Amino acid sequence: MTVTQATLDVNSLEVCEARLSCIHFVPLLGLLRSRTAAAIKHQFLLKDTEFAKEYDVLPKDDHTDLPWSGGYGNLFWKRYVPNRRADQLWRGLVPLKFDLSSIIGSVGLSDGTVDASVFLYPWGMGILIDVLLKASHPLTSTVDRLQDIRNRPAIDWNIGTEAGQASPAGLASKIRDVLLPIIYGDGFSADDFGEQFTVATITDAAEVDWNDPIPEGGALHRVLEGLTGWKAKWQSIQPNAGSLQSCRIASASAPAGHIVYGKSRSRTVWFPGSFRTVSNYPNTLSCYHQNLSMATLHTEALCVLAEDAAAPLTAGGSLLNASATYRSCARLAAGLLGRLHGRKSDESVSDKPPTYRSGSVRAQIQLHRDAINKIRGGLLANGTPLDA
Amino acid sequence: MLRTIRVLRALQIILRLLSMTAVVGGRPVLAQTLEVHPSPVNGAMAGFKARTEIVLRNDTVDKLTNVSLSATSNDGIMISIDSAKSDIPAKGDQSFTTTLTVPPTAHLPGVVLFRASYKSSDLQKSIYATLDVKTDGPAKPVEVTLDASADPISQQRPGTLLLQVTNNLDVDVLVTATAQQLSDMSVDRIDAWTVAPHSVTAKTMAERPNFRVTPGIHNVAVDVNAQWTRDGMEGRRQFTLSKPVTVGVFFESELLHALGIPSFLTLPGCLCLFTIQLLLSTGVLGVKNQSNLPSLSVTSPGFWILSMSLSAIFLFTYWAITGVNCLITYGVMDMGIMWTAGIFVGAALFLAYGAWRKDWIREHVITSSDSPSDVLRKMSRNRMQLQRSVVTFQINGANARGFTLENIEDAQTMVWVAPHISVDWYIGPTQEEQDRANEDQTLFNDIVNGDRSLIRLVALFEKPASPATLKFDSTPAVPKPLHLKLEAITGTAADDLIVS
Repeated sequence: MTVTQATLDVNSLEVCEARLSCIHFVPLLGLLRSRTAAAIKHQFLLKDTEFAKEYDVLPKDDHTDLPWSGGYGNLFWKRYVPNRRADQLWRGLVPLKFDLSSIIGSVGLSDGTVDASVFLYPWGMGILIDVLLKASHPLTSTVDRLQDIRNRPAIDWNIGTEAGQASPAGLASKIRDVLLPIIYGDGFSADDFGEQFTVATITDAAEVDWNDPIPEGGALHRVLEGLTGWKAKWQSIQPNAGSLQSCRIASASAPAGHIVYGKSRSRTVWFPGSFRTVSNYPNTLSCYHQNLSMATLHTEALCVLAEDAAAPLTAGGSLLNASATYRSCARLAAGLLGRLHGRKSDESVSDKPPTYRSGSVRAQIQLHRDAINKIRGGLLANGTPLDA
Repeated sequence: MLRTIRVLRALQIILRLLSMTAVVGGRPVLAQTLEVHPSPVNGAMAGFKARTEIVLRNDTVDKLTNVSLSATSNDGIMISIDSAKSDIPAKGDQSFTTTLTVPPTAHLPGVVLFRASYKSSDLQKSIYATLDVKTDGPAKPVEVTLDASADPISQQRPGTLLLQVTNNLDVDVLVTATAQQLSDMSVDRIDAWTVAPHSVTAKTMAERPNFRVTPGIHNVAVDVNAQWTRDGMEGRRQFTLSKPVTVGVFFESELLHALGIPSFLTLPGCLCLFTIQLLLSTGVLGVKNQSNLPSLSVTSPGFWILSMSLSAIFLFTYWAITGVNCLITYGVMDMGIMWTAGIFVGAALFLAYGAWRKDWIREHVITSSDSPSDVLRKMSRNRMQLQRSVVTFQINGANARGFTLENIEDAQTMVWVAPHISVDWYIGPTQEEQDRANEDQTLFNDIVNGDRSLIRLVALFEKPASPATLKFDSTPAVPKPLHLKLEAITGTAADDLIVS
């Protein structure tokens, strides 16, 4: 029986599958910025020409591969870099995926699976902890469980001789500590982690009328708040008035009952019309989640570089003392972020620059608008500011 | 009886005494007076003659005997008296006609003293009267004015003097006028003419400056002689009138005013520099692209030091060749020659400099049509660094920025700026092309990360079949090199690499 979203009982709506991606970026900007290349193990990371050459020799040593190997976020990469020549991949600042299978013994959950991926950029590492919750619970219990996983050490891990439980942030931290000596060598430390970015998606649940709009302040609205605000007492916290609209990420041609609900560092996807059991293509939401997570991680990486490059420009300085590869990366990032952000005027033209388009990515970039505009104006030909 | 006679006689004496007294008790007393008519005499001058009537009146009851008239003058005036001695009865009078003659040696105005001598009551007596002899009366007999236009005159634009004669007399006046000749100009002669009584006539006299003149104000003097005859007496006046006249060279003042030059003497030097500046502005031979050329504006001391020095050379050379000392006199032809020579020498100097520096300019001086590789090559030859200062400026009201391509020195007014130059690496389909691109890009990175040598960088880009493509980019910036006035610079930004 199909329930409407207005009458939906979150305590009884059965959720069969949910996904949670926790995205972290480990900045190592100092190494790239230095004109004297540090003696790291994988020198290619700090040299654009060497990095570009790596694309041609992948997979390499069973450790590094192209980021879409394994199929995660395939659609994102396909649209982001339609031409996959090495020089084009470099122009897209496409990272290299580092295989953790030989390093991580196991990571998992009692009621789901956990997958950790690392993406190597010249200026740092992107770490993606992807949780697949596969258990039938009422919607409220699913939200509580996802909160547990995000906020508490719920993930069992086994790396080398060590084992324990960690939250996604803790697991990412552990992976960083393990990988730094392996990739860069001893004695190198990373900059501070930024706040993790989460993407939560209910991928399968009982049938819900997706043409029925989500009521403001209703139980479903609280669920969305719970999966983006990550507050333990989410059920008793009344969402702010108008937040359903203000947190709605713009989406083209979405049914009234679909929403990507977003805050500055989190997204929740509620697409009942695409649940596995009702969709024509069962993996629709799963793929959407992966693509959104991958796009979010790559955008996060580019924004970190943009913020770092913009800092001296904002202070009236320049990138004079930065290495050639840093300057090259900063300039490419300025262009790529503009392309990912898109322009309102692009919506009416057919030959818009090919890339992955997402309202979520656009909203994510908007938070770094000043820095991005700074480097676009300072480093690009025709580096026009981003649309508001 | 005798006593009576004595009394009568005494009374008679008393009456005589009373008659000789001028005024007694407020009542007029009878006496002799000497009158001069006319008095005074006006219009005296050398050769002047006049008649006067001297009247001796006897208002007494006594007869005057042996009456005679004499005259004397300390001013050299000659007097002739036409009457002899005679008697004047009681209550009678006698006139004496005298003629005054003013010799050239006489002193005017003068005084003539007349003395009438007579015997009365057996007593010899004299009475005196004076006559003033004056040169002019209240109205001058002849008046002359000289006028001329205030505009400068030149050989091509002669001027005229206007001589106006006013005859206040009631007889014709014959006038002759002659101008005193000057070294820089001549004034045409005019024939003598007659001015009717109580009339005014004017005559023009053409002023003709010479071929070469000393420009400035000259005083033209005209001698005027007026003669007339009245009652057989000749009258004459001699005038010398002067008038300042501005003499110049045709078109000189207009020319100097248009060019803003204070004197003809600085004309050739100024024209020489103006010609150089004109050729500079046209971009001939690319000389104007040099930023370190002195500006030499007309208001700068350097301009005048140079132009005056050049002018001195011009004037000396001209004097040596033609013998004409333009410091003293010159004419329109001299001005034309100086004009032509100034322009010719200026053009010759410019072209000589341009030809001499042609190769150097082509290899070192930035132009607005330079490609990015041209800019880098010239910067390298000028021993510039890859790291350049960045300036912000306004162009067409919009903010822009650019890398300075030169080191700015004192007194420099312009500087070349250019946008950032980006390098695109062409990575061909073949392995060989890819390897070459990779190799060059690696070398580029080594240079940027290392010593940032522009010489090495240029050598890298100039390799045959280099995979590097250079292009100007970065906004807001000018699309290509721009020769920017320093005054347009609004600020500076941090130094940066011009190529990356």
